[in-house]
Amino acid sequence: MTALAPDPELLPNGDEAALLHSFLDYYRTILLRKAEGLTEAQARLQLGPSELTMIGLVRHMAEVERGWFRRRYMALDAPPLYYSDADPDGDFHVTDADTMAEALAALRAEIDFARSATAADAMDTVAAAVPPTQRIPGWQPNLRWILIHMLEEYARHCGHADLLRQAADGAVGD
Amino acid sequence: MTDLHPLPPVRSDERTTLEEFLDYFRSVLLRKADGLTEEQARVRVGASEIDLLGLVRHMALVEQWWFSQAFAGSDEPDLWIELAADGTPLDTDRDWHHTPDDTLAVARSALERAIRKARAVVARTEALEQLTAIDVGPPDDPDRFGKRSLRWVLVHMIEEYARHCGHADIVREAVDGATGD
Repeated sequence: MTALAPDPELLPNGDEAALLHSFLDYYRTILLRKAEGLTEAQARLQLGPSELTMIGLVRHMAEVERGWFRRRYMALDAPPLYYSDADPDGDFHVTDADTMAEALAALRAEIDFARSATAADAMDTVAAAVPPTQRIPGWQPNLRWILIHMLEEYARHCGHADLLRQAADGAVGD
Repeated sequence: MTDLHPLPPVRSDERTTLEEFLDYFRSVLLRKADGLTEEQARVRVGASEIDLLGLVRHMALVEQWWFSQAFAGSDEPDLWIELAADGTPLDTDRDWHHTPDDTLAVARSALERAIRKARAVVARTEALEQLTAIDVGPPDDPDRFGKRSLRWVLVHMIEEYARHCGHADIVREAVDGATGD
């Protein structure tokens, strides 16, 4: 099982960069832990009318990491892993041939890239790319905005994962 | 309908970015609780005891704890709490354990009042390095028991709201199909 990243409470007076990286890493490991140890059937469990699943959340966060850090922050040519123009929600559309092991490996690879790409940068560093689909001129967020956005994105999806995992096997917490 | 607070401009300074992201999620949670009957506010999904009434009551308590009590040092009594004759709480999860007499309207106004007080505490605090008035965290863990900076509290509140908005997403969709922010 993925070890939980250091508790951000251990850096109560950390500077801005240390605190944002710490909180984000903490939530990355929560999502990985919520997804580990599930059968493929449990990974596909849905709740009520929502189409969210644990495997879909892992694939989605791999896409989100890739979009923000490879394509926008570093302006690299990194096409989506799971979605396409034909299926814009392809990360959530899982077939029987897809596996949680593959999704977790993809997410870990994107997290590793994001950590190394941002570790040394000042929070006012501006993303290198303006994605062609972004309609607002000059829409290039700084690293601070991206890290806080990523934190809330992970936290919200961890909220989804809380209910999915509890329904799958009763597990709760971080 | 509660207005959705705009996200911060994408190249803002630290303080603006933190405060505006937090206000954004405050508005998302309030919107998730808009227009519900008392019955809908008590709908649960799967194995979880979380419902929208509990979420609103919980976030009111969280706002009160971090900003009024921990940061400003107020000794006001905890929201929702009921004490036994010896002064100990009858139930420390009274935010989640509501009764048929507890209403969403009361919960919402408590949350809105707690948010107003929280904003006032933040507005009169000059530096993000300023520390809580009291030590927080587990008293038996010297590494984690201590004061937190306003910076830490704001980042924590953003992820706390966002995670509970994730809970609210699934519960609200089950109530009436509503999704999004």
